[in-house]
Amino acid sequence: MKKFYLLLSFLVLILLTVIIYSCSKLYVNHGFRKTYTDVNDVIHSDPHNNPFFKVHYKNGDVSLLDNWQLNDTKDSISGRGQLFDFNRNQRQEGELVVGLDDIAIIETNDLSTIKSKDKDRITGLTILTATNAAMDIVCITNPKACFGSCPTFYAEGNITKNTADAEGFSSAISPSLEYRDLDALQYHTAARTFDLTMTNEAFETHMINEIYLQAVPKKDREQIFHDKNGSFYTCGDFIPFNSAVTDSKDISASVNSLDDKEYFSDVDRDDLTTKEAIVLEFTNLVPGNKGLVINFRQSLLTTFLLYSGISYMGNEVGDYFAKIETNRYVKDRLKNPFKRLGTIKLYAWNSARNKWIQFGDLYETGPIAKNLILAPLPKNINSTKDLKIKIELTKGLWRLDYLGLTTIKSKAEPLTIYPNKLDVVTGEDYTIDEIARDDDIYLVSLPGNEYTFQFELPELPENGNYELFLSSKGYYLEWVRSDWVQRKDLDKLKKMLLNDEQAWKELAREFKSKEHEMETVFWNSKYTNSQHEGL
Amino acid sequence: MKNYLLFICVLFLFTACKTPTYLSSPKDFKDQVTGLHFACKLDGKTEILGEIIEVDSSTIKLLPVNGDGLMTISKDEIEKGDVIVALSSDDPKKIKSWSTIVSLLPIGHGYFAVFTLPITLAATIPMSYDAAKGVYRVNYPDNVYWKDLSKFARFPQGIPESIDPKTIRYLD
Repeated sequence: MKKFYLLLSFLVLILLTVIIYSCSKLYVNHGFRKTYTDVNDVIHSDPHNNPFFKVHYKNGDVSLLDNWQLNDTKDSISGRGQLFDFNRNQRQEGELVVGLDDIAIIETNDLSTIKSKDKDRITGLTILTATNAAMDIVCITNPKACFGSCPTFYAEGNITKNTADAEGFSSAISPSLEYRDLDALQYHTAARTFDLTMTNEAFETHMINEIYLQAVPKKDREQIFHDKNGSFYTCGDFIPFNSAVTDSKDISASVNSLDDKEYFSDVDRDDLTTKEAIVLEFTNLVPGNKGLVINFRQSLLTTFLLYSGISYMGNEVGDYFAKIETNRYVKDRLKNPFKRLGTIKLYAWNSARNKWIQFGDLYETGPIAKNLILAPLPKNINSTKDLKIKIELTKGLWRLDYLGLTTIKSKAEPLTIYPNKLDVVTGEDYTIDEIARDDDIYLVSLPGNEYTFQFELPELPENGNYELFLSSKGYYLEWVRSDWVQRKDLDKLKKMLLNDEQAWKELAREFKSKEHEMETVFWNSKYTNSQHEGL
Repeated sequence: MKNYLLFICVLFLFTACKTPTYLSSPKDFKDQVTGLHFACKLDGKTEILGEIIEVDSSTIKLLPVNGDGLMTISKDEIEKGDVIVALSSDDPKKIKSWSTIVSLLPIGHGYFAVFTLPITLAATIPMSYDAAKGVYRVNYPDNVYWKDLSKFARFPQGIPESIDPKTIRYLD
C-alpha cells in the first residue's frame, strides 16, 4: 500500500508541475477586430456579419449598436444600443442616431473567434462525474471491494478471496460500544500453527483491545458450533430439511448447503420493518438433542442506515459521538434503528398447543463475513418425529446461506489460545502485548494496515483436529466522508432515532430506490454461480 | 494522513486560481466598451498590466490595473507583450465548483482512489485552471504589428483633444 501512496504522491506532484505551466494561453489572430473610418467600408464589408458594432465618436464617447442602418438622408446611422462617455459611464440607452460627421472609427468584432470553451469542459466533467458516480455506487454496494468494514480476518493469510472469514465487533462504532465478538472462522486444522491475518480495508480507525482463538478439539465427522451466548457444542452430521418455503416459494436450493448461494429478499417499499417468514419442514427425525444451524450475514441495509445517520450529523458528528460517550440516553437512542429492524426470530411448531413457540433469536451485524451459529432446540420438541420450524426475519435485512438441523452430542470446552507472534505487514510496529489482554492498551490499525497473528496449537491425538473460532474485542471509528457532511439534517436524524414513522418511510423509499442496483452489483461482484431467489 | 493533507492542498489550489476580474467572458465580449488590456515586461523586469488607452506610432498609453495613473511607454521599451482579449469561459465559477465536487468523489472509492484520484485530478485541475485563467490573447510582435495595436485601445482614434488625459479613469 505504501507503494500506492508513493505513486499517488508522485502523480500529484506531476500534476502540480503541469498546473504551473498549464494556465492556458489561447492565441488568436488580431484580425478578429476590424476598424473602419468610413461607414461605406463597413457596409461593403458584409454588414450582415457584423450585427454588433461599436462606434467611436470623435469626442471620445462610444456607442454599442445593434441592428443598425444607414438613414435615408445618408448623413447618419441609427440603431438600438447604449451610449457611453469617455470614462465609459452609460449616458443613454435605446434608439440612437449618430451623425456620420461625429464618427471617428467604427469597430466590428468576429465573435466566432472568441468562443466559450465551456461546452467541451462540461462534456468532460459530465463523463468524469458519471464515471466517478458509477464507481461510488459500486463501492457503496460492495464495501468489501473498496473499503472493507470493521477489522476483517482471513485464515492462513488468504486475503485474496472475496469474503473475509470473520469481521470483528461490527456494532462497536464508538468507544463506549466496545464489546467482545465471537466468530466461527469455519476453518479446522490439524496443524501445530495457524496464521490469522487482520486487515483494515475501510476508512476507519480500528482499536483492537484483545484477540485470541477458541480452539475446540474434534474428531473426524464431528462438527463444532457455538451459540449466541458463546457456548460450544460438539455435533454430528447435518440433518437436511424436506422443504424450505417462504410466501409459497421454494427456496431450498439457496439454503440447503454451505456455499455461495444465498437467499435474500427485497425490503418493503414503505416499511423497513416488514417481516417475512421461512418455514422448514423436517420428517423422520430420530429422538435426541438437536439444534438449528444457520449461516447468515446482513444485507447492506444496516450499512445504509449507519452511513445515513452519520451523514445527518453533518459537521456536528464529533459532538454527537461525544454525547454517545457521555450521555446514556443518547447512546440508547443510537441503538433504536437497529432494534427497530429486529432480530431473526426462531419458532418451533408445538402441535399439542397448536401454536408456534419461540425458542431463540439471533443478531449479528455486518454485511461481509457470514456467521455460522447454532440455536439449540427446546428439549420438549427433541423427541418429535416430524418438525416444523419458522424463521421470522425483516425483509431485505438478511442473507441466509444455510438452514438445517444437527444433532448435539455434547457441550464442548474450547482452548483459549493467544497469539505468540505478530508480524507487521503494514502499519505501526506493535507487539502481541497490545492485544494479549482486555485492558486499556490497544493496537491501533489505520486504513491499509495489515497484521498477521501466529498461533501455536497444542498437540492433538491421532485423527483429531481443531475447529477454530475468533474472539475479538475492541471498537472502531468511522471516518466521515466529506460528501456526508453536505447532507447534514439534524431534524431527520432526530426523527430517525425517535422512530418517527414518516422519517422511516422516507428512509425506506430512499433505500428502495438504490436497493436493486446495490444488491445486483454486490451479487455480481462477489459470486458468479449464485442466484437471487428473492427477486 | 499525509496523502490526505496533500489532497486537501491540491484542492486549495482550485480556490487559489482566481479569475481575472478585468476580463470579459466570451458571451459579454460584444458589450465591452473599454480598451483591451496589455501585459508586458519593461526591460525584461518590471511587469506592466493595464488597459490600452491610446497607441500612436511610437508610444502606448496604459491605465494600470493597480490604480496608478496613465503611463506612457515607448515602443522601444517593449520587447514583447500580450494583448489580453477575453476569458475562454462564460462561467468559470460553475466549472470550478463542478471540478471541485468531482475531485471529491474518489474519496468514496476506497483503495481504488489510488488510481481514480490522480486520474480525476489530472482532468479536473487543468480544466478548472483553464476555465479560470485560460484567456484569449494576441501576441506582440509575433501576431500583431505595432500599427495595428491601436484598434484595441479605448480610443483607437487617439485621445481627443477635448479630454484631459488626467481625467481618464480605470473602469473596475
